[in-house]
Amino acid sequence: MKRQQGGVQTLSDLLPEAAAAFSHRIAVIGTERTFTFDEANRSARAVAATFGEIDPGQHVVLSMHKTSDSFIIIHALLSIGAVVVPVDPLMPVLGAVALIEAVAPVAVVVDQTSMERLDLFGGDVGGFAVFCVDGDDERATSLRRPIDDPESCAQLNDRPTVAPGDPAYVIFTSGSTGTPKGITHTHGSALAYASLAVDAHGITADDRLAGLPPLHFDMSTLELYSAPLAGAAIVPIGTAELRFPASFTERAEQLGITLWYSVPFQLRQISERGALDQRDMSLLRHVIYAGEAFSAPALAALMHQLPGARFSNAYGPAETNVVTVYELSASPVDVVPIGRPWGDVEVRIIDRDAEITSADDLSAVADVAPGELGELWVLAASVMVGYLHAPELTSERCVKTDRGTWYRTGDLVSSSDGLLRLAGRVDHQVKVRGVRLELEAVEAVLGSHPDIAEAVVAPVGGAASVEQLVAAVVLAPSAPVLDRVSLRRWCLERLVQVAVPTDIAAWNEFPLTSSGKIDRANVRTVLAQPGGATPPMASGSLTNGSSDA
Amino acid sequence: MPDLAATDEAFAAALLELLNDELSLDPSALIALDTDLLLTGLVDSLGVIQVVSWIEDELDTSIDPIAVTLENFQTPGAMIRFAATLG
Repeated sequence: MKRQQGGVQTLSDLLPEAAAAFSHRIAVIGTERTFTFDEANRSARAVAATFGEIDPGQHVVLSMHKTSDSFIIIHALLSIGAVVVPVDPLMPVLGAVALIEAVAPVAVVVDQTSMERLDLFGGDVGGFAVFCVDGDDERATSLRRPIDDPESCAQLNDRPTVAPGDPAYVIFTSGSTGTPKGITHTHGSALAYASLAVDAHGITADDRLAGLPPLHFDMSTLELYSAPLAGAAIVPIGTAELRFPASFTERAEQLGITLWYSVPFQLRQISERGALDQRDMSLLRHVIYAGEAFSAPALAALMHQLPGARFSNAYGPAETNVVTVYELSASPVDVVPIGRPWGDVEVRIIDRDAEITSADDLSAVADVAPGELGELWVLAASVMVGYLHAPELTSERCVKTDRGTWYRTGDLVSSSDGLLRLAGRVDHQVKVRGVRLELEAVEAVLGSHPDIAEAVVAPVGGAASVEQLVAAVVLAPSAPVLDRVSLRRWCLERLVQVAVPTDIAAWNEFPLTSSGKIDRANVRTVLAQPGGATPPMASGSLTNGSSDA
Repeated sequence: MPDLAATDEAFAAALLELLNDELSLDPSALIALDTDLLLTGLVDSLGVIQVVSWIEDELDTSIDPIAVTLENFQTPGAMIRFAATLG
């Protein structure tokens, strides 16, 4: 069966058009129940009617674990032109509340767990309607009946007009100042990606996608938008299930999943702990990873375990969506390229120090010589419209031209015959288990603790597949010893889980550069070595330097 | 392996101590035998791996990855019931 043609202009059209084209085929396989496209569309229309007063362009925060319900709720919100803002349901409460205040949504959609965590009726945030997918709190509007029994509810009949240039969703990512950045995609940029992904990965109505990435992570757009575009079924995998690779592979085998899309961390867990030798994965045809590099030996091991599957590396910051892809033809022995631009994506590789603020600057500057390292710039229909409430930040990263928006990625790449290889960052952004983090933001949180004078944070594990961060701190003169428990709690209240350093060492002092600044590069090199979080100073340096003196 | 019945309470206490003091991602929440660790997000993927290797060390046994499932590890109580089947 072919994918939908023509009728889909915006994400709002996706589910109604899929219901028309693929009506009785399966759309979502949840743990509780399965929805056909027709059923999913009817539930979404009933949910949309329940949302009532929300106007096109207004923001709605979604804080819930991924289920079949979340697929329906997101499409219901898109159908009324609302801008969906998915947030990590496990994010620290302080951060979540600050984020909700910054977004100023007209409504918040939660599950019972999130409603209690965020204390939506007793806490500091308010001024929005609350919709809850489960539980029976009378202060929230329940979405249970519209999802389960749409025939007994009013259904949305007239969808508002939504244009491809209208905002559709916002994905938040770590910012270097500690304030998250909200990446706003339009219906057009999202659909441009969804459509290219269907073509490039050959997704059809016979596919079943395992939806591994959580909703607040941009990689979830493949299952949310590409799958209904192609008429493929999705199997949403919740956070809890992801922690048990053997449970995941059991479900993947039972349901005949044909396509996995995930960060390398999850795939390595599946390879090492998924009991793949005891599962029949013959229906799995394609494994696509993205988000960070996959270490060659770990990837080779997984390819050996899944001999029938194709493997691809997809690359693209959340600001651009995926823009390049590389299919492996053999087991990797070295760093895997990020591939070539797909579809109509254009790339340029420009000197990292070039000052570019306008389209004229961009056309005046030349690309680096072939094979040389430079910063990757991307022009694509899938590029974001900008950062939420941050026009200055947007203009720092985006250059508008007659042909579209160029996005400056901050990624250092080289090209040989058009094949791109990723070589690092121009700044201190790292990917930890696929999650994008700025080292400065983690350092700022540590440094804001009253006991800490200075902090340096480093990734452990090399350029590929960073799994944790470690920190070195210099204590404030008032703090006699390092209180690790207090510091860990401080971080857990303010940072996403993967950003909390797993080891914190107290140093007497930090080495300085010739200009008198902390030599962070030097400290990070020491920290990144095995056992590097152990202070290099004299033993007993857990006490404050000044009290040692 | 040691006689689990005799060390049951000590094992449970030690497991709760490990979870509360070292692996919990929210030190303000108290993890009890029936706390759902996974939906609440109190323990992450790496925490699960640490629990598995801790049980392996305590009971001097090895755990087949296929047994590391949601059912067996959702709560400390489930972990203890699962540990009792090892040996």
